[in-house]
Amino acid sequence: MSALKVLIVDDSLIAVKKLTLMLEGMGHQVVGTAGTGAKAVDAYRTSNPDLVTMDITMPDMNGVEATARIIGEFPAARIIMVTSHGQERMVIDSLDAGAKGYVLKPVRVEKLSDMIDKVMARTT
Amino acid sequence: MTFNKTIIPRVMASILGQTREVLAAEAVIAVDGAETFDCDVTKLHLHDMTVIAGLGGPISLLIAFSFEASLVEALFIRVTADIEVPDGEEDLYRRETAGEIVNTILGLCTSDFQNIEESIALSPPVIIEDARCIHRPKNAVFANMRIRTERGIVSVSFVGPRELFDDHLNYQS
Repeated sequence: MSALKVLIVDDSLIAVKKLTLMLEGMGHQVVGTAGTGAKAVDAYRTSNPDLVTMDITMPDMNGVEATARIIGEFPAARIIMVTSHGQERMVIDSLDAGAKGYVLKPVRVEKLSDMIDKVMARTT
Repeated sequence: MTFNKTIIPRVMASILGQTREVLAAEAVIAVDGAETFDCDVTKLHLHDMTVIAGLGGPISLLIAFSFEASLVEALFIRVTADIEVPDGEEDLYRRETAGEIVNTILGLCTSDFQNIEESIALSPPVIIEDARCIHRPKNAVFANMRIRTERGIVSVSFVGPRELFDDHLNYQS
């Protein structure tokens, strides 16, 4: 797989740094970060990423709503939820909003890499 | 308001289990034991660093994780081991570490409530660093659990119904 441009949406500084390390270690390029759902929509418009990692619990607008907004504007957007929120209802809500995958925190590089491979295989 | 205090023991058990898992996975810190003080608590004592988040929907609780400094330090060292912490930003990263650990524990707890149809919203963590004592108003429920780890104690306080308090545990009459 060629290098992907990735937007990280997460309000945790630690999570952003760890995801950046993992994604760059896989050869991808982090083209932007956003700490709220509202900023995620703007960041998507300006960075035009190949893939988004999206947290759920964030200030202002949660990740499910931000996913729905991004998909509403960019139907082909590839969004993977990366969150500790493990309730099945929330997984269903995220997929209904247009997310293509779901990875539970604590994130391990193998789990994230596998999910990216699956999403890219399904959508390209 | 959907608060029902009988859910507190279930939430306590879930938090204890997920705390054990997350501290082991993220920081290789073992939980040695826990004591619970269920629903008869009249005041809460907060330590130096406290992370507060709310579980919504039918759970309707504010949950405060109050950490001893020794445990925060151990978590900070382990969690930031593979990332760069800029000089002078250590305190910011200590707070971020505590917030991320609590967010992960509470998020994973929601998976222990699959029988609840409604989505369980989780609010972003709020961090307060002033030690204080909070007295229980008549119409509130307080419960407490003290989790002992090999690196220090985290006291977990359960405050409901969450609508009675703001995110800093100030009573809203």
